[in-house]
This record gives sequence, structure tokens and C-alpha cells, in this order.
Amino acid sequence: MRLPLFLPIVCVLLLIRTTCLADTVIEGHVTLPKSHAAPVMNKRYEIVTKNGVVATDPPRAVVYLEGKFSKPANLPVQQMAQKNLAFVTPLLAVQAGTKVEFPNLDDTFHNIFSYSPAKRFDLGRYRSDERPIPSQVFDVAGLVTLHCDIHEHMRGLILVLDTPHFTTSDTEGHYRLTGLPAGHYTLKAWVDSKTTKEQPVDLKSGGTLHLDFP
Amino acid sequence: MMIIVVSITGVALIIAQRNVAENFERNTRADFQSQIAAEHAARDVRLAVLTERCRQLVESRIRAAFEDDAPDLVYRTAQTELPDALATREGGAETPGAVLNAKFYRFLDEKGAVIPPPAEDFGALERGDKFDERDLALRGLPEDHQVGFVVVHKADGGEAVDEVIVTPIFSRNANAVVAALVIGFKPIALGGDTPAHGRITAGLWLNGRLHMPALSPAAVDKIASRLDGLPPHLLASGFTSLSEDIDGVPHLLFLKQTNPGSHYPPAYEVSLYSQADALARQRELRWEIVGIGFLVLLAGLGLSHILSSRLSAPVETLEVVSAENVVQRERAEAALEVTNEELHARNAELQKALADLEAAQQHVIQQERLRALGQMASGIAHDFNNALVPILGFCELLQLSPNALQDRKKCLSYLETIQTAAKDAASVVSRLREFYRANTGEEEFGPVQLSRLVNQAIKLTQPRWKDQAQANGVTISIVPQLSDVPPVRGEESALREVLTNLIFNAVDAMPAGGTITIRTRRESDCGVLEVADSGTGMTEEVRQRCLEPFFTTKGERGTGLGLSMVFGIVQRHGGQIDLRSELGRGTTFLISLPFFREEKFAVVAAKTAPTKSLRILVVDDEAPVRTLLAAALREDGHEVELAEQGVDGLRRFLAGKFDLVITDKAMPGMSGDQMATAIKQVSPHMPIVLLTGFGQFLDKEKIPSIDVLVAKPIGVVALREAISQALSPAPVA
Ligand SMILES: [Cu+2]
Repeated sequence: MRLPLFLPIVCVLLLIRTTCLADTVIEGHVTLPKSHAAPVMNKRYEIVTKNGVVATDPPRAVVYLEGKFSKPANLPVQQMAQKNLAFVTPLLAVQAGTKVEFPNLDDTFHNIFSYSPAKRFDLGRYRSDERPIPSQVFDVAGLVTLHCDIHEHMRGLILVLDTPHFTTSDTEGHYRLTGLPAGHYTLKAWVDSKTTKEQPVDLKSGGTLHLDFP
Repeated sequence: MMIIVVSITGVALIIAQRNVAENFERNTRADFQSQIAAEHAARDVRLAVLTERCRQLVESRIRAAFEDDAPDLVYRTAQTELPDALATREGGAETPGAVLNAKFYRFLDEKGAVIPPPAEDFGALERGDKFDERDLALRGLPEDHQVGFVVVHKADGGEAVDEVIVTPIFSRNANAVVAALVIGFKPIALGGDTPAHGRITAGLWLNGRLHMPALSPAAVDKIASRLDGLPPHLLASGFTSLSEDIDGVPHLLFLKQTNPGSHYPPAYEVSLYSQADALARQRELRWEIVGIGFLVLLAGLGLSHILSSRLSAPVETLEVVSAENVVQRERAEAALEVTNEELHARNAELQKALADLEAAQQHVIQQERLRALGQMASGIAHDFNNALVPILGFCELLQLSPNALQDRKKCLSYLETIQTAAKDAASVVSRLREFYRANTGEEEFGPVQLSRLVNQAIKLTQPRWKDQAQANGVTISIVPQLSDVPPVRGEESALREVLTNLIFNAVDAMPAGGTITIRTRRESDCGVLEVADSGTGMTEEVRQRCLEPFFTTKGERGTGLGLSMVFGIVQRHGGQIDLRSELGRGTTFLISLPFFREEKFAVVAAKTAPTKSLRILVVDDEAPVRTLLAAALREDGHEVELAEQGVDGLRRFLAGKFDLVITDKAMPGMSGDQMATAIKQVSPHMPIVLLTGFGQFLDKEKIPSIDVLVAKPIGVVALREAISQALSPAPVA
């Protein structure tokens, strides 16, 4: 009588073990629009708006797995630092519910604000010694455009996603998502404010899937 | 005989009278038109500046709000972005220095309808004032600015017509015009407000209603009905006519659309020119002519009587013939006069056509010039703001980081940078002055060290070539190669501007980064300054034209004034400018400036050395100026007593013993010059220095009680010079 009850529990435990141990990976390449800027030696990139499209330049994509995932209680704090009158990470992807700090690493004031529907805020003027470091919690999924009231040219993007599984591609378009759960999902690639590509994916535990976005 | 004399006199009288009348009409008409033209020119300049400022206002958080889809936040944003532009704030307190003197503002949505402000105190309208918001709406958003008018009903039941300017707001995210900012202004007052004040009465004809507050309602109705009957083609052209009497006086009337091509309903400016003066003068002259004619007639009668009594018999037959002659001559004369009149009319028509043609041509030129003027004015404002950035930044730094003040060396270097920037700001203002008045020719040329200049310019422009370039992901380095060059003759701030402009130009020529090399070297009779970039270089066409004013390759961003200003300054210094450029290799500017001659410098130095210790009375109502003056004077070893205003100053002067008085001119109560006059009555030889904010416009000869007149802001050296000048015995005539 004890055995039939015990078996399903073992099965469930085994299932959990396999999903945890065998890493499920998707990797591939997103075809990105051609860059307008001359090739730059360092890894810098910036946010540009051209013909009504907001994107990074040189272009980068944010690749993420869409599905129903539970929200962990404690998400790690992210940073959107300002240095040399620019955002250090002009495009930051975070899971909804993440707290983002905005440290100022310059000698001058910054005043970061956003009017985007996904998150409206105004941090006011602050310097590098401001404590606690000005921060905001991003609860709603969507694209948030960051401005600085003092430096009109400063532009930053925070892409708030309803998933813990996301990554930012390099400027060539290569990406690699690790630690994924098995199941049926949609894989999406955000390329710019007007373009998000998507493909259905069937993830088997422990495999590496190669998937390109043409 | 008698008939001959009488008729000749009569004809002469009529002709004289007609000529006088014609001349008067022509003169008044010309006078009227030139006054109108001058006022229109002033109006156009103002409008050009206003539209440019409006365009800049929109380039702020306001645009961000529309770009990021937050129109509900836009009024709250405007409340922090626009108050400087508004003349009236809470409680209706006037702000005299307000940049735009705007009265209210509204936003239009993507359909052109007014976005209602969230509460009454948003959008700042004077308390109690009301207008129909629908009057501001447009059918769709315009691509370019629009001018219109709106009737504002005042709290006291009166009415005013305010001018509005619509500035489209372009969203880069939507790649389209998505909204517009409407700002309302008090329109510029044309002519006087009352007929007694100048002879032009101005008004506005809008939506079939005439707004002319200076006139009686009956007169307004009379003109309005006249305007209603005008055919459209007369409305389109400027219309001048001899109107009916208004309050018993004939007037000339001029009509012109103030907002041609606007999406708002057409508004016509109506100017009335009273001919009261002209008529009075004409009447006077008419009496003079009649009087003279009468005298001539009397003399003629007397003469004819004598003649006829002597020659009566032989001449009787002749007289009959003469009488016939006279009749014929009269006819001929009448015919001639008709022809003459026709010719006059033709001539007038021709002249009017010519004038119209000229006006059209002028208008085109003027339009071009105004655009440039607007850009230049805003460019200067921009330069001024740029000069303020390091001042505010370093001040903030000093105030906020407690350690900075302890570090004396750092402190001094900050202060030096602040001083340099402040001087540049002052020179920007003087450039503005140069812009509207001819050069006075009193340029202060001194010795300028080129290497010092180069180092200063590199430091001042750092935000642009280093920080901003870095933010754009490119690296620009500046390599100074300085050699020992004797000082050149020049104005330091102007030459610094030359160098800053050349550096900016070099930065713009290197969008992908590179190196700017700044060299100094000496030649036989001049110092040479070289600014070389490793940028894109210029085509031959650009090289030929780059020194022309308003020529720019930077599109919207440039005013096209940088290099032409460089050229102007170098020319003013008796220097030469040369440029070598190779496509893809870069551009080198070579500027040679004549050396400074030593002997002149020695004189200046001696003059500005501190004088012996003096007891000085300083009178100024502004505390900061007073403190600064006192500090500077005490630094030079003088004893200083301070007074806050004229009466206080006079009291202290009478109570103490002084060698010199320094006073501000404009003070509440007793002014500086009044106090000076009072002091001179007591001790006629007391040297008095008058400080004034209007130095350029005041004449020392007109204030005999003043020994030296100095324009504010005053520096330490200028202060010393003024003191030594006041103390040196005046040249006795
Ligand atoms: Cu900033």
C-alpha cells in the first residue's frame, strides 16, 4: 500500500533533479540592422532615434523566453550607472519587479527621469555622494526611456520583461540563453522599439537548441 | 487792363493753392507710410526672435513628454520649464526681466485641439482673464510656426487682443509633429495708444470685428462698416485710402494682414493717421496765400489805374483785343492744367508701382535677414549660457564639497576658471551691443600671450572635445606645440573666442575622433597660431566660402557665424587668416597677429599701479557691489566708508573727511549725480567717480559735477585707473 504513493513522489523528485542538473540552452544569431556608426574600437554603444525607431547603435538585441514563470521573492538589484555624461549600460534588460539603482559616477549632477507609460519617475538632481543611491522598482513590463534633465543628449533604455530568462546579444547578434526549463514557449528577440521577432520553441531537458532569427 | 491783372493774379492764386494742397497730401502720405514701415520692421524683428525662442523652449522635457507618450504630464512639465518665459506669475506679479513676456500658454493635441490644462492655475493667465479656448484650436497641426490673435476678456469687463505663436512639437519617436505649444503675448503696440500720443492710432480687425480701444465706439463702427465693404483684393494688398471724417477730422487709413499664410483666421492691422496737423498747417498757408494775393491784386489795381488814366485813349482799341487774348489764354491755360493734372496722376501711379516693386524686393531681403537675426540672437543667448556653465558648475562644486574650500590651490584654480568664463560672458554681451550699434572704435588692445591663450582655450572647451566626444564614443585629443613667442597685440577675450571657435570647428570636422594640433611660432613681425585637425577636410567650394557669414555645413546645428566671426576678429586685429585643407586629411587654420609694442604697455602698467592710501566714500544701494568695491579698495590700502544711498552718503560726507567719492548713479531717493552736485557745492574740488550701468549711453559733459564716469561691471584695474584719473589735475582750458 505504501509503494504506489511513494512512486509518484520519487518521479517528481527525479524530474526536478534532471531539470536542475542538465542545463537546457538555446543559442543562435539574430540578424541585426546595419549599423550607421563607423566601427568603434571600444565596446561603447548608444541609444539613437532614427525615422521614429529607437534602438542601440551599434545594434544589439535582447533575446528572452516568454511563458508563465513564477516571480522569485528577491530579485538581485541592478545598476544603471552614469559616467562621462552617458549611461554605462545604455540598454538594460530586467525582470519585472527588479530594483534598479542609478549611481552617478561623474563629478557633475545628473537628473534622470522617465515619462514612459511603463514607469514614470523623476530622481531629481543628485551627485555621486548621494546616499542611498537613487533607485526605482520596475514592476510593469515594457520599454522605459531614460532622460537626463541636465544633459539633453543622455539617453538610456530599460526593457522590463515578465521572465527571468533573457540575455543581451553582442553587436554581431550572437546570443546564448542558459538554465532554461523544459517545455513549450515562445522565444522573442527585441531589436528596436518597433521590432520584436519571435519563434515557438520546444525545449527538451538537457539539450542545446540552435535557433537563428533571420 | 484791370481784367488782365485780376485774372493773372487769380490763376496764380489757384495754382499756388493747388500745389500747396498737393504737396501736403503727398508729404503726409509719405510720412505715414514711412512710420508704418518702421513699425512693421520692428514687429518683424520681434516676431523672428520670439519664434526662435519658442522653438528652443519646446526642445526640453516638454518634447520628451510628448515623445514618450505622456501628454497628461505636459502641463506639469511646462510649469517648471516655462515660468521664465512668462511675464505674470502667481498673484499677477510682473517680472520685469522676463525673457518672453508671455501671458499664457496651451498645448494642442495631434488633431490641433487644445489639451485642457489640469487646473485653472496651469497655463498661467492673469487672474480673472478669460478667452474662448476654441479660438486657439487649429484644423490639424502645422509643420511650421503660426501667428494668430485671440480676444481676451479682462476681469474688469474690458477686452484685449493677444498675439499667439504656435510652435509645432516634433517627436523623433513618432517621426512626426505630434503636438504644438501655443504661447500668448501682449502684441507690440503700434503707434501711440491714444490719438493724442503720436498721430497714428492702431487697431486690429479680426473676424469682422474692429478692436481699436483708443477710438470712440461710434468711430469704430464707422470704420468697421467701411472695412466690411472692402473687396477681397484690396484686403490682400496693403490698402490706403482717405477715410471719412472721424470725430470731425479726416484720416488716412492703412490696412495690412499681420499673419499672412497663417492657419489662424486672418488678422488685419488697421492704422489711422490723423490729418489734423496737416490740415491746420494747410489752412494757415491758405490764408497766407490769399493775403499775398490780395495785396498783389491791390497793387495791380493801383498800377492799372495809373496806366489806364495815362494811356486810356490809344489803348482802348487794344484793350478789346487784349480781352479776347485773355479769354483764349485762359482756355489754353485751363487745357494745360487738365493735361498737367493727368500727367501728375500718371506719374503718381508709376511711382506707386515702382515703390510696390521696391517694397516687394525689400521684403524678400528683409525676410532673409530676419531669419539670420533670429538665429544670431538665439546663438548669442546660447553662447552666453555656455559661458555660464563653468561658472555655475564650479561655484556649485565649491559650495557643495566641503574639502574643496580647504584646498587653497584647487580653490584658486577654480576661481581662475570662473573669472575667465565670466569675462567671456561679459564679452558675449558686448558682442550683442556691437550687434545693434556701430563700433565706437575704442578697442582695448593689450599684450596677449599666445601660449597662455592656447592653454585657457583648451581648458575652456574641454566639455566639448573631451566629455561630449567621449559620450559619443569617440576620442579626440588636443596636442599643444607651444614655442616662445613674444606677446601679440590684441583683445584677449576676442582672441580666445577665435581659438574656441576654431577648436569647435575642428571637433565638428572629426565625427570619428582624431587629433587637434595647436602650434604657436614666431615670424619676423608677427606671432602665428596654427590649429590643425585630422578630420574630413573641406571641398574647394567650402574652402572658398567658409568665411562668409551664415555659411554653414552643419545644417540646423550651426548658425554659420563661427568662422565669419573669427575672420572679423582677426581682421579687426590687423592680422591675417589663411587655411589649408585637404579632403580626408584635415584642415589647418593659420592666424598671424602683429606683435605688441612694449612702450605702450609700460604706460598702462604704471597707470594701474595702486595709488597712495586714500580715504574713500563709497555709495551704492546694491550690497554685493558695495562689498566688492570695499574689498578691492581696502586691498589697495585705502580707507573705505560705505553708504547705502544718496542722502546717507551726503550726511557721511559732511560728517567725515574724504579724498575721493565713488558713487552709483541709479539709486532710490537721491541719485548719484544729484548727490555729486550737492557735494561739489560744498567742496568744489572733491574728485567724484560715478559708476553707471549705462556708461555707453551717458555723456560726461552733461554731468559737470562728475570727474570720471565708469561703466559697470567694474574690474580692479579699471577701478584703479578711474581713481588715478580722478586724482590727476584736470586739464584747465
Ligand atoms: Cu546628466
